[in-house]
Amino acid sequence: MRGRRDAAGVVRRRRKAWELWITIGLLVVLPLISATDYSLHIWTRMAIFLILLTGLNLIQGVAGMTSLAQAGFFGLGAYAAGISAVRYDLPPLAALVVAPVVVTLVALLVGVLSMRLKEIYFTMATLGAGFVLFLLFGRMVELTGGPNGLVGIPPFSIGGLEFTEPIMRYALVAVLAALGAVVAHNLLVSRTGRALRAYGASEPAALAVGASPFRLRLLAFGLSGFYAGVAGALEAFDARFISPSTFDFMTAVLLVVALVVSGAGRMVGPILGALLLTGIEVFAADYADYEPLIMGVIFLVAVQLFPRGVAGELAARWEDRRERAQRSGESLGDSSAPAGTTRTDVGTPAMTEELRR
Amino acid sequence: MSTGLEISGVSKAYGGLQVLRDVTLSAPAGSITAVIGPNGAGKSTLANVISGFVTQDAGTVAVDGTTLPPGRAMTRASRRLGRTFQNLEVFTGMTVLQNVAMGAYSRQRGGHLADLVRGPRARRDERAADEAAWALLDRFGLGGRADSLVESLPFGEAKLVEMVRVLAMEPEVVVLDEPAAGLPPASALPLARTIAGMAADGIGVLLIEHNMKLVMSISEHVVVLDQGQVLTEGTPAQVQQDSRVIEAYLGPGPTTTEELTR
Repeated sequence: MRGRRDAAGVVRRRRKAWELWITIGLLVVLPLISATDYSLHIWTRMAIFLILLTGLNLIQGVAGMTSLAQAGFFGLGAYAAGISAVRYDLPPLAALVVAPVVVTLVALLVGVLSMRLKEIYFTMATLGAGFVLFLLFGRMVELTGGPNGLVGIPPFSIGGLEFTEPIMRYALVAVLAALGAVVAHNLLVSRTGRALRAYGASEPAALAVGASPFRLRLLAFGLSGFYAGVAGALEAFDARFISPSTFDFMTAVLLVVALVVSGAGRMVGPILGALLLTGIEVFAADYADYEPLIMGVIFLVAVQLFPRGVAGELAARWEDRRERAQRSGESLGDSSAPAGTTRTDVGTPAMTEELRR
Repeated sequence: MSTGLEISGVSKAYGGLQVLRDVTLSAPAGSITAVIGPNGAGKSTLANVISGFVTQDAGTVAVDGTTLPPGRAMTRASRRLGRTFQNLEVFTGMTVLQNVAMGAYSRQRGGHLADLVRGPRARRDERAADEAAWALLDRFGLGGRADSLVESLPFGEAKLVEMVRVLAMEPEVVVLDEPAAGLPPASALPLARTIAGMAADGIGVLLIEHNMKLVMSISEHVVVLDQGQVLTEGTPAQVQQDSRVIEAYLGPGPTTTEELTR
């Protein structure tokens, strides 16, 4: 956003929160568009995906490290909540707290072991973690119900109030999704988020300004696990039945693809990705076998048309246009640079190219 | 006032190759000390040892009398030691303002978890860092570029952003690794002015540079490194007249200092 100065010359920056408002606005508007039981079910799915992708965006988009563990963490959250409620008779509210804590601890453990590795090895470690979790969901039959799934999960409830009405189920998920978006936005615009991005852009320079990559990335990964845990618990209480196949390798890849196609690293990336995933789920329901194919084609076309993701590309174009307008403003004598300062307006196109490298 | 940078007895070998041999030099506060030397003299390794990117085999690096932990680049910012890089190292994908504000990173004390809530304190810190960055950008004529993505800037300006980011660290010592590398001759003067401005602000500047004209025009003290050792040191005038320096650069044979400084 363009900075403005008030009369005293103090800089006031306009907030860059519009992407957050789009996300929250959509969560509010969707049930107003249609509130049938079926569409509320769809919106709830969408909001659960939104939470998952918001978490994934912190490690994938902001820290720039691809995690293939998000589906496994999603499942771990679902099973942690479901098992707590079914096998240990924990109240759903307590289970909703337990699930993200469990997933965060597991994510931190995986992170501590793999975070010092190069990005590609980190991705392989997350792939392994996701796969191990997937296997455990199917093998620990006594706890998880095995391949047949975990049945008998109660609806979510607070005190005696049961969230069985579709609108209440949606409201619960939407409120948590909005809260998650606010927290993610805070992180993104704070110095922590900047440092995470900085580390992805230039490792030596980030070290030189004193940013600790290990701690920052561990935090981002732990948070991605926390979000997956919340999403998983909500999935368990919403579907009331969970089985391993929901959390397989294909889901892990779909999540990453949906986020990258939509715009990893931007706040609108997760909401676009969630709409995309939900859309595919709805329209491909009749052609379930072709879902990977559809996603593959979308991905191939999107990376050609929008190398920075749909949101990234549109925002970049918009910023380019704004900058050009700003420059033409400057040439009309609207320059904000004080007179007499040095301007090294030099550099060849080749050098600029080198910069873009 | 800070005593600046003191390097004492630093040695470093890679396998059998001795890159630095017992290097002792200092960059006092408020002045420019240059390190020159032919390719392979060990200049970049020296910069990396000072800034903690390379662990020395022996010797110490101290800022303002405090010895810095070897090989820990992350600790340098809190010891008020900043550096620039020979190859441009900016934070692509971020605006010029955000790039510069990152310089204040280690001075912001709030915890990372507190950033999830982004309470008044975190916001105040962010605003302070941004406003300090704005002031620096204005001072260096980059105010109009504050909201541009750093990768959209011409090379010369991006280099300047890197230097301004270091100033945002409020450093006591700055190590500049070949700041003129890749810059067209026309930028040499503004660059020299920027570096001189750092010293005028009381910063101890260690200038590692190839461009002799730049070095000779702005340095108070010049250290000549050759094959990992300090060959000689002195004022620019003394160094320029030293036959060993000419020999190290151009090989033995009749030559003049004019050729060197051209």
